[in-house]
Amino acid sequence: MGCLLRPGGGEVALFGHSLAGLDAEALARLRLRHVGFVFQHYNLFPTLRAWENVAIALDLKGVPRARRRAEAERLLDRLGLADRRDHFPAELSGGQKQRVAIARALAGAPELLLADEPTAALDGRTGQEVAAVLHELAHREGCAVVVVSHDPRMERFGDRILHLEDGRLIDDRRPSAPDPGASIAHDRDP
Amino acid sequence: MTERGIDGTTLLAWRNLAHDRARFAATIVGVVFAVMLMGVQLGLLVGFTRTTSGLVDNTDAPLWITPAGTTNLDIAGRLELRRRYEALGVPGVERVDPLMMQFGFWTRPDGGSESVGLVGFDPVGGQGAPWRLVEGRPADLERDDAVVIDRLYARKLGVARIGDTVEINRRRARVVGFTQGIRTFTQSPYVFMHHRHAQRLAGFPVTQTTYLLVHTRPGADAETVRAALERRLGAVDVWHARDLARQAQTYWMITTGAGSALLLAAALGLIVGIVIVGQTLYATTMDRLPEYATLRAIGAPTGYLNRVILKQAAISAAIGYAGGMLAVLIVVALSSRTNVAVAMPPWLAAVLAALTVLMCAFGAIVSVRRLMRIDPTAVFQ
Repeated sequence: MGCLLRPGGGEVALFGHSLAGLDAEALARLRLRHVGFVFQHYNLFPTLRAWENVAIALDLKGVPRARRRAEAERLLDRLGLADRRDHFPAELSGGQKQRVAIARALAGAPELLLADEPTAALDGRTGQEVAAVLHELAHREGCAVVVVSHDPRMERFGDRILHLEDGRLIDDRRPSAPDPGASIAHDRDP
Repeated sequence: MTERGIDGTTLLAWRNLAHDRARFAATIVGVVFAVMLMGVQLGLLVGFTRTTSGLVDNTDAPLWITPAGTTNLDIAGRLELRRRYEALGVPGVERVDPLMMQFGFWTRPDGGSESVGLVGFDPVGGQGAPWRLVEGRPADLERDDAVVIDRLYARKLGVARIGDTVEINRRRARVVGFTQGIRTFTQSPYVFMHHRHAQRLAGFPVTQTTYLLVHTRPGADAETVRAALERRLGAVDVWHARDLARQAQTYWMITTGAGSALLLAAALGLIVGIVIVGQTLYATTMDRLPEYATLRAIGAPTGYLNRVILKQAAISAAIGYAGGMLAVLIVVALSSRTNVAVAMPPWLAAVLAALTVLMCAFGAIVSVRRLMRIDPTAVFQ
């Protein structure tokens, strides 16, 4: 789904594009155009400030140079990081790093946001905050958010929960009323 | 770069380099060293090359008549002076001046001896006269024993001031002036004197010389005159001045192999630079492989990643070139006081800049090849 691998069998189509037969560059273009990624270990660029990490993604997406900083700061502000824009990743807490990573993933307004174990490297409270952020994004931004997680606490944030075990789908349910809890605008990290 | 918006690849390239200052410093030192090595060697090559044709370059006669088979200006045969009058009879010839060039032995006041190049010119035409006279007057060379040497070789020749007397080929000579900056490729300093004086010291009869320099009439076609001279005189070579200069340069720098050694050293500098830049860029790339994988995963084309590497190479090249060029210019300034000239004309500085960029681009190839194979799924490992 993330267009990082080609299907070994069957057919996978994303936003009307079959992944079969696409070369590495075409897959990269598809990712760039449609998908935002949030990784377990944030994967921020350690030599870049928070806003620069987001601006790199905007650069890739072709946002004009003059607008990149303002747009990056807008995304960081929305994620409650207005006072952390100029910090380097090493100067941020785990939760703040993950929110910078989410801001980067949202750069260019992707239609799909894929989060790989977004709370695995975070403590319980911070993990809840990040999960709430993702939930709110899905509802406010009209962006489909797909989270892969082993953290059962994530379940209460999901609109649809698919349970995989040993590569097989064993459960598919839609909770009637997800409870996102925290607001994305609050920053309780130190 | 940060206030008005950023260019992502430039920002990443700069930060990647600046983040590891020790490695960046090592890269810059390597590039500076390579630029300096290339610059000094190529500067020596150009400097030496210029000295091989100094006699031609500092006369304004468009045509030269030389003994048949002449390969360079310093080792000359003999020409009968009557050829001068034959040449004057060729249509288009306005004036013909004799010029002597023979090696001789200079005996210093302390008894030691040095090899010198005796340059005898006719003061009437002035062709071959000392061209950077800084002490003494041209008229002083009318004296039968008068000579002018270059300040760069004064100590080597054991003289310090005007009026010092020495022996050349066992005949007394008096220094009446000094030039400044006339170097010779053979390191046998030119000793300028009246043509008849040079004939006497070299043991030439008054009817002989080594070269005849031909001035053409205004409007005359030099090639037409040259061909006519060759037909009329026979058994001599007639050259356009530029061709004779090129022949002299080719003889000393290529035929003797002297230039090859300098080119080899310059090539060594290029190779050292490629290896140093290649190693440090590759190490930086490997350190940052997870970040490149992240870029690839979020959709960066390989061209974007390659631009980061190439810009790192370009930044290293620019800073290294500036430092290396500064060092070369210091060497050039210092060499101006010695008998070995390191030349750095603007065109050579441009060639050196191109070589530096080439060196860093080659150094980046290994890193670029590594990034071409980067697996975006490495972000999950």
